[in-house]
Amino acid sequence: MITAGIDVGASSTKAVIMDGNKILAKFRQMAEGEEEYVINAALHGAIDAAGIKREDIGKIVATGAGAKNVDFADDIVTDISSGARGAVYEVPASRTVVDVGAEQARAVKCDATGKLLDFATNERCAAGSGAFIESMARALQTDFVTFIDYHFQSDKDIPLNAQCAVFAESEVVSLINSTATTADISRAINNSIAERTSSMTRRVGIEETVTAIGGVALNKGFLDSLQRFLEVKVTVPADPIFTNAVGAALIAQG
Amino acid sequence: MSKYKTEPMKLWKRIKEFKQNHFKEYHEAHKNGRLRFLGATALSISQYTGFENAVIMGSEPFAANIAFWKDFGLKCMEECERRGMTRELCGYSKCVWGAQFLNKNIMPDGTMLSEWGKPDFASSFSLAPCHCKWFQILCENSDTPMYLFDLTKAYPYNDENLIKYMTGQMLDCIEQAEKAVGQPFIDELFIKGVKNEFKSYRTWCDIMILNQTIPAPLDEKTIFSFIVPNLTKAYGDDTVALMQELKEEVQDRVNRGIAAVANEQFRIITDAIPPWPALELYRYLEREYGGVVVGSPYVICLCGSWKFENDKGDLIPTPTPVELGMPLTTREEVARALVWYRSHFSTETPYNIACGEVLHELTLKIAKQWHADGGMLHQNIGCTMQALGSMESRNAVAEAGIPCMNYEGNDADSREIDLTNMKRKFDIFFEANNVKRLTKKAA
Amino acid sequence: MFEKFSEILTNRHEYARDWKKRTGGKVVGFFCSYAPEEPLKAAGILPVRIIGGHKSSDKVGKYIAPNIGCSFCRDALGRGLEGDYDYLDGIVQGQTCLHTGEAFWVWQKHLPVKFSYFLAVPHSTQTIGREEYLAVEYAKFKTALEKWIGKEITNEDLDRGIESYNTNRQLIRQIFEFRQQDNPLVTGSEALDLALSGQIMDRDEHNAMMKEVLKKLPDRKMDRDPGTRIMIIGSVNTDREFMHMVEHECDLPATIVIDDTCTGIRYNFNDVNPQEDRLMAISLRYNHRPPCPNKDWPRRRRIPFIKHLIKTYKVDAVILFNHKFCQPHQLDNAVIEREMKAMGIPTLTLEFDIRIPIGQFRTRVEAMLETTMDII
Ligand code: SF4
Ligand code: SF4
Repeated sequence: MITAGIDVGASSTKAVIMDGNKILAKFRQMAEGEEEYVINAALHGAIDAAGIKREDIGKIVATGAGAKNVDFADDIVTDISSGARGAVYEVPASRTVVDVGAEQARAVKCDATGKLLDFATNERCAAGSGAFIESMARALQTDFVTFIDYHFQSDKDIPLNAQCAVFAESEVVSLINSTATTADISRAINNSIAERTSSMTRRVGIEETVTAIGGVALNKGFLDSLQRFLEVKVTVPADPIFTNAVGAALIAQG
Repeated sequence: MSKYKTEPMKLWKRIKEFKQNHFKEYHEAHKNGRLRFLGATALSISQYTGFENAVIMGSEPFAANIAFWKDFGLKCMEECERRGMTRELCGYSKCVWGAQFLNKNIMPDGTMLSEWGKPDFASSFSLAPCHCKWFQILCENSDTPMYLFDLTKAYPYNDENLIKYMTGQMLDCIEQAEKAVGQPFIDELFIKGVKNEFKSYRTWCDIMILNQTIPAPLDEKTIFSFIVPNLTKAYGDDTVALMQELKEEVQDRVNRGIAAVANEQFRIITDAIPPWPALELYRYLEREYGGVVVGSPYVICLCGSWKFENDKGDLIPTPTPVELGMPLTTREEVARALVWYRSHFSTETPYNIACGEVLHELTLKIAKQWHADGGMLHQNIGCTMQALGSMESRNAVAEAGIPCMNYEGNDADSREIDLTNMKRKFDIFFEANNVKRLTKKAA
Repeated sequence: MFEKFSEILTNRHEYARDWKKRTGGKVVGFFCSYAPEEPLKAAGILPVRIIGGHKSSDKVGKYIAPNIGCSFCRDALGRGLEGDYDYLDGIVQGQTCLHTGEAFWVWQKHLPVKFSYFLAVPHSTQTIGREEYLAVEYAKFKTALEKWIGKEITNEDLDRGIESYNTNRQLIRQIFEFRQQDNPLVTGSEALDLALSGQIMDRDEHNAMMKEVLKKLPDRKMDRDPGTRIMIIGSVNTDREFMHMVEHECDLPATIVIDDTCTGIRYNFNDVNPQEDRLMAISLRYNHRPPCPNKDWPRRRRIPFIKHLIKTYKVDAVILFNHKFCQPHQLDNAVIEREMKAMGIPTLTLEFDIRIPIGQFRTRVEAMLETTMDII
C-alpha cells in the first residue's frame, strides 16, 4: 500500500510518501502563509515528486504540533511515536531517540520495532528547547549556521547552569560583556541545552544506540556536547528533519 | 455499545449538600452562637469535638474550595503576591491567606461571602514545616489564637517516642484551646467524637478497597466529592451513617457490575492533590481513552488509615483502636489512640519528609493492588511536599513494569496549569501503551 | 591569614580522603546543620557537610524535578551522583526542610553507603516535650552508631565530642567578634571560609588552626575601606564567588559583617551546656540554637535574633539570600523585609541558582550600595 506521513511543525511541514517499506518521495514546505495551504502544498509536493496520483494513497497519518489541522488525515499520532518509528527505520539499532524541537524536547525509549517503552519531555521552561538556541544566536548577533561553526572554535567549557530561560539569558548577557569569545559562548549554549537534554534522557535510561532526530540534530556543535554528557555516541539519520514524517507514513502502513 | 453498565451515584447529591451545609454551618457559626475551629485535617479536627458548640473546618478542603473556584482563587494568589509572597509558594496557603487579606470567601456552590471566616482557634500539623508556617502567617495576620503541632516522623509508624510526644501536644492543645475560647472541654464528647472518627475512617478504607474491582465502581473525580465529610466532620454521627450508606451503595455497584466509566479500558493511578482548577482533565481521560483514575495515595489515605501487612506486605486498613480493644475511657487514652491511629498512613502523612523512604513503595503497592495499567503522577508544583517525592514514585512504578509518567501541574494556581500540554502528554502516554482513542481526533 | 581555611575548603574532598588515610577512621556526610555531629565525633567519625560545587549535573533530573528542588540540594546531590563523595562511609540527615530530606532519600537509595540514618529532629523548636523527644531520638541514633562501629560510645567519648564542638563554636565566635570593629579585621569572605571549613574538617584540627589565627588577629592591619556594612540573611550560603564579588569587585566599598545563615553565626551561636544526661544536653543545644525558618514557629525567634545582630555588628544594609525554590526562606522573607523597612534598613533580595549571574548581581548590589552611601 502507498501511504503518506505528514509532520506539521512550527517552521515547516514535511510530507513523505512510502510504498511498503520504501520511501518514494519527501517534500518540505516552509510555513509561510495559511496553515491549510502549507499542509496541502507539502502533500502535493511529495505526490508530484513520487509521480503518483492523490487517489493512489491508501492511508494518511499526520503527526507533529499541528497534526490535528490535517483535515484529510485518516489518523493522527504524536511525534513521539512517529519519531521512534522513523528513527528505528532509519537507524535500526536505535533504542533511545532524542529530539529537540522548537518548543519541546523529548527523549524516547523504544524497542526494535519502534514501539514506545518510556518517554520524557522537558518542563515548560523554554531554556531546554531549540527556540532557545535560536534566540541566543540572535543575542550573539549571528545566524544559526555561523553559530554552530563557532562552537568548534572554542575548547573552553564555561558553565552556563541557570535553569530557566530568563536566568540563562541574563547569564549569556553577562558572558557577552565578559572576556568570553563568541565561540566560547556558542559552545556554552550548546552545552547547556545538551545538559538539559541529557538530564531528560537519563530519566528514561540511556540505551544504545542513541539517535538524534529533528532540526537540532543538524547542529553538530550540539551533538558534540550531547555526546559528552550522555557519555555515548549519538547517531544521526541521513535526513533527520524527515524522521517524524517517515515514522507517520510507516505507522500508516500498519 | 459500551463495555459496562453505568449509572450515577445516588448519594452524590446528598454528599454535595452535606458539604454545602457544613461550610454554611461554619460560616454562620457566630450568628448561631457557636465556635469556629479551623484545623489541618491530618490530626487536628476531632479533638475539638470536646467543645460543645464547635463547628470544625478542615483547612485543606477550605483551601481546595477556593482553588476550585479559580477566578476567586486567582484573586487570592494575586493579593498575596502583591504583599511580597512569591509565586513559588504553596498554592493552598495563598488561597487562604488571600481570602483573609481580601476578607472574602466562597461557598462550595459558588456563592460569594463578605467575610473570610476567621476562626476562634486554629491549628495545623507539620506534615512539612510549611504546613505550620502557613498557619503561623495566617494567624499572625488575623490575630487568631493557634496551636501548631509537630509531627516529626510518621514512618516507621508505631513509634512510642513519637506517640508520646504528639499525645503530649494534643493534651496541651486542648488546654490552650480551652483558655483561648473560654469554654470547658467535655471529655465525653471528645471520646464519642473520636470513636466516630475511627468508624468513618475505617469505612472509607472499605470503600477504597471496593474500588479495586474491575470495572471500578468509582472514579477519582467522583471520589473527590466524597472526601469532605471525613475531612471536616469524621466525628459526627451523621458522617458515620453517611459513610456506611456510601459503602453499601458502592458494594451494590460492585455486585451488579456497575462501572464509573462505561468504557473503562485503562486503569490509572495518580499520586497527589489534583489540579483543582482543571478537573476536566479527568473527563478528558475518560471520554477520549476510557482511562479511569481508580485511586492515588492521596485519595486512598486521605480519609482512612493504612499500614503494610506485616513488614512491607500489602497495604491494609489499620485496625482501629476500638477493634483492637485499646482503653478509651479517659482524655489521655483517647488522645493517644487518636495519635496512634492517625500516625499510620493517614491523610497526608505518607508525604511527610521522613516518609521519603516509603512513599514510592506505597505508590507502587497501590498501583498493583488497585490493578492499575498505568500511572499518571501529578507533579504538583503547588505543594512542594508532594512534588518532591513524585519523581521517585514514578521511577519505582515504571521500574516495576507499570508504565508511568509525571505531568506538571498545580493544585491551586490556574496560571501554572497548561492544559494543552497536559493533554498532549496524556495522548502520548496512551498512544505509547496502545490504548485506542475512543474519539477520532483531539478535541 | 585565613588562606589555609580557604585552601582546605577548596580541596575538601582531598582533605577527607587524606583524613581517612591518616586516621583509618570513617567519614559520614550530612546535609543539614541539624545533624547530630557531637555523637558522630564521639564515635571517632569525621562528619562532613555535603555541599554543592556550584556545578550542575545532568544526573539529578531523574530524581528531583528541576522546577521544584532547591538549588543547593540539587547541587549537593549532583556532586554525589557524579562521584565526588565516593569516600563517604555513611550519610546522616538531621531533619529540617523537605529538600534536604528528599536529597537524603535519593542518596540513600541510589548511592549505597554502609550506614544511613534519618534523625527525626523536631520541626518546631518551641513545642512541649521536644527536648525529651530529641534526646530519645539521639539515644536511638547512638545505638545504631554503636552497632555499626561495633563498640560502645561512652560518656567520656561524648564529652570529648561535646568539648571539641563547643571549643570550635567559641573560637569561631571570638574571631567573628573582630567583625564588630569599625574596620572589621575579618572580611565576610574569610568568615565564610572559616566557618564552612569547620563543617568539613576535623574540629580539633580546625580548632588548632583558629588558635593560631587568634594570636595574630588583634594586630592585623586592614588596608581596605570597609564601606557599607552588610548582613546576609537567608538560605545556606556556600557561594564564595558571590562573597568575593561583594567585597572586592564592586565599584563601591562594602564588607559583609555578619549573617543569619546556617553556614555562619546561626550555627555557631550557642553551645552544649554540660549536664549528666549528655544526650539531653545536646538536645537542648539544638533545640535552643537560633532556628532556621523551618523550625521557627509558632512564635518568631528569628526576628529578635536578627535585630540583635544588626545592633551588635552595626549593620547598614541587608541582603536576603534566597536559593531558587527555597520556599522555607521565602516564607520568612516577606516578614523580614517588612521589619527591615520599619528599621530603615535597605534590603536587597537575590535569588541564587546553582550558578549565579554574577554580572547582574554586581549591578544590583552596586545599586544598593549607592543608596547606603548616599551617592544618589
Ligand atoms: S506546600 Fe504542601 S505541605 Fe506545604 S503548606 Fe502547602 S499544602 Fe502544606
Ligand atoms: S536552602 Fe532552603 S530549601 Fe534548600 S536546604 Fe536550605 S532551607 Fe532547605
